[in-house]
Amino acid sequence: MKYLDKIICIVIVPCLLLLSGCWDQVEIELRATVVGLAIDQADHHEIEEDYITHPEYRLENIEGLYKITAQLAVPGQVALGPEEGGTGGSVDDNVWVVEGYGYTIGAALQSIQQKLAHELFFGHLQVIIVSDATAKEGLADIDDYFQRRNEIRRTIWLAISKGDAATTMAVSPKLEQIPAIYLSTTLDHAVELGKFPEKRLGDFWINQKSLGEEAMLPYIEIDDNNIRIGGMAYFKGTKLINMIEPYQVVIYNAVTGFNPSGANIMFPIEDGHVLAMSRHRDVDYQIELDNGRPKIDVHVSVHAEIREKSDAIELNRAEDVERLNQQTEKIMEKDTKLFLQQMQQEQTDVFGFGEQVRARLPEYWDTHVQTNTNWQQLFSQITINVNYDINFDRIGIKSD
Amino acid sequence: MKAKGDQITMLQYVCILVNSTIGISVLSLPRWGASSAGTAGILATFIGLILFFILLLAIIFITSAYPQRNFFEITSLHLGKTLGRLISISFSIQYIILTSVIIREFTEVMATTLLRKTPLLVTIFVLVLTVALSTKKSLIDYGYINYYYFPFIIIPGLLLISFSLPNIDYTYILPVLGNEITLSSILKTSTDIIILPFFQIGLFTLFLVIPNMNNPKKALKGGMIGWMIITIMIMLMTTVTYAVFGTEQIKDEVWPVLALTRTIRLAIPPLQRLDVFFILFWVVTGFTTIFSGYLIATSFFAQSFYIKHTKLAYLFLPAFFFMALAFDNHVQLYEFMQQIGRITLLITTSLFLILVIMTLFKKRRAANEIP
Repeated sequence: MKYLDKIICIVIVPCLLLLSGCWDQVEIELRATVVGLAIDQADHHEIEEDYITHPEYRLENIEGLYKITAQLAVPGQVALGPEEGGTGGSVDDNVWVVEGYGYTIGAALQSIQQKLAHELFFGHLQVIIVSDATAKEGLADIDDYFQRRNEIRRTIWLAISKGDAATTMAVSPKLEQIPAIYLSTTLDHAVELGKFPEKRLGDFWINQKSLGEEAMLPYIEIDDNNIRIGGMAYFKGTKLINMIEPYQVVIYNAVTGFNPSGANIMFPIEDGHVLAMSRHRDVDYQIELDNGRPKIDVHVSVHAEIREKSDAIELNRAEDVERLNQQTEKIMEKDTKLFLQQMQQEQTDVFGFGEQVRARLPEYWDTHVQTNTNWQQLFSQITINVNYDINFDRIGIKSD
Repeated sequence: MKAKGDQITMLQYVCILVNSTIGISVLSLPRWGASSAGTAGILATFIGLILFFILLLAIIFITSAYPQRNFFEITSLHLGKTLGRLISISFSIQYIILTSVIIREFTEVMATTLLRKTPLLVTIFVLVLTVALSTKKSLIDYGYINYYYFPFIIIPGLLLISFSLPNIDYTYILPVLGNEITLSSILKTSTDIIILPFFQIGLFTLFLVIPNMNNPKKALKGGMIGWMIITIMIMLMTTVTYAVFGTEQIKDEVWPVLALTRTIRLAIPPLQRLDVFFILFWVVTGFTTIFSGYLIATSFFAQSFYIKHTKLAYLFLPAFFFMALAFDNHVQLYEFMQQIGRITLLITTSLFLILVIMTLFKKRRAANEIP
């Protein structure tokens, strides 16, 4: 038996050393590393020239028409450190853009693969941009493809673009060598600066499936040669409904108590204005049954900082600041009410109030709500009161 | 009869119990609860763990009545040698099946995450061979191996939980009693959870360990400590997974806990791909569970013929290998896992019931005879 052990060792050790990774080993230069994907709608004519996953006759019950533009990082071209004068290539040298068409996401990606020598690799995918027209048709296909593939991270960004997604992705500012990475960095920093809530690909899936919450995604648009964050796009199920404005995103963040905060809001007060930045938000929900309907009281407390004010406003005394607190509270309450009414009319609960009702009033949920559709209907009829407690605890170093 | 060195300390016993029970199946555990009980799945998991504790106590009761006797000897004492041998051999077969299921689950995870192109055949073979090599060692080495791996299971597990904490949303774990669910279906869900093979493997390691403990009186204490560690780890992982994903998303994930590692995002660049680091953790947890299952199968068979389990290590290899290869995909695997788990748990509990009753009677008779 001792000999058998030795023989086994002689067999197994070389096996482990030589075979491990053999099948799955891929040289980095031999990979087509996708950093960004843009998904647009195509027309039948474009697909007919490019289909590869099916013969012509099998098309009756497929409805999607996709054009996917992949941005591939060219190995060896991307400098890892800071760029030294003149040596770094232009964006055109760093990335390689390939297009594919298909009736499904997988088919379109396969048609991209057909044009490449190396295998597409999604492990470094940073951002997926979907045009608003495609998103209005629904993102179910996109969800299925990307959730099924293991190497795609849940922390990447899925963004909706105004107009053509491919051109949005191609916008190449000077700060980064790869446009897709610039985009994802823009979105990362937007969250850190409190411009919008952290709604990544994984969050989108979670919210979209939740019974009492609808999903939102960042909405971007091209502004000259820059990317501008134009608010958030909200969904009903997998279908895009509409956009909310950047100032409404701030209200959304306040109502959901999202941190880090850092959003700036201008308040028109008396005969001047104050520009305030939130520093920290806290939120408290009170949910109870009132006349057989859920009634939600939201209490938001915000610590804020004054960034700018017009001459007419005085801030010398403690009571001035106190008055400012109350005035801004009133303005926020009014704006929030309008925003909530708008969302209630759309029957789209992006705030997750439904999840709160499901969690806190399970009996009511079980008897009256049960499904997402029922909740969205009920959402438009319930009373939601929001009151603010704004506290300007930083005024700045100017004394008046 | 037993060599002095061939004894297991209480600490090693706790490690064996914990390592064997926390296995690769934890990856799919939240899905079972979420799909049939919604948010009450967390409660169902806890009830399942209490059932596990009751079975654990039963084993401790059965084995401590006859210290230093192994499973075959105990069943023979109660039911006669022929029946005892039959039971031992059938349990050996049962654990070949249960362990093979875990081996296949492990290779499925590997095949979808890391080794996409490596043939399943190779992954299974290397794994089974490694386990067989380890099974060649004595029980004392088994104790040491588990003792050594214990931190590699607990620490990454706790890290995973703490990294996920920023992403949690408390509303996803409420209400505790679930939506639209009755108490009986919560209980049914707990049995669905407790039938998962890794629980049964963890349970039966006690039959190997307790007779070889240097201080069998500590069996109860060790069992309780072990159960508490298992409960804390499994409950934390389950609750955090629920709180991050919500029940609806968990239903859509084959391995929700594995998906959890993909949602973690640290700002430090080399740590951005934490999922690869956590794969190592799953390899260790998988290995220790499979090792225990393999050891149970070989030991029970060996005991009934009065030979050492080390002699059977390679002989049993083909059985595990071909059984693990027999499945087509993970959908089929999980269906089979539920069915076989239900049957084996029924067999196990009925045997325990018989053994506990007989032990009680014998104890009473012995007590009556003494005065």
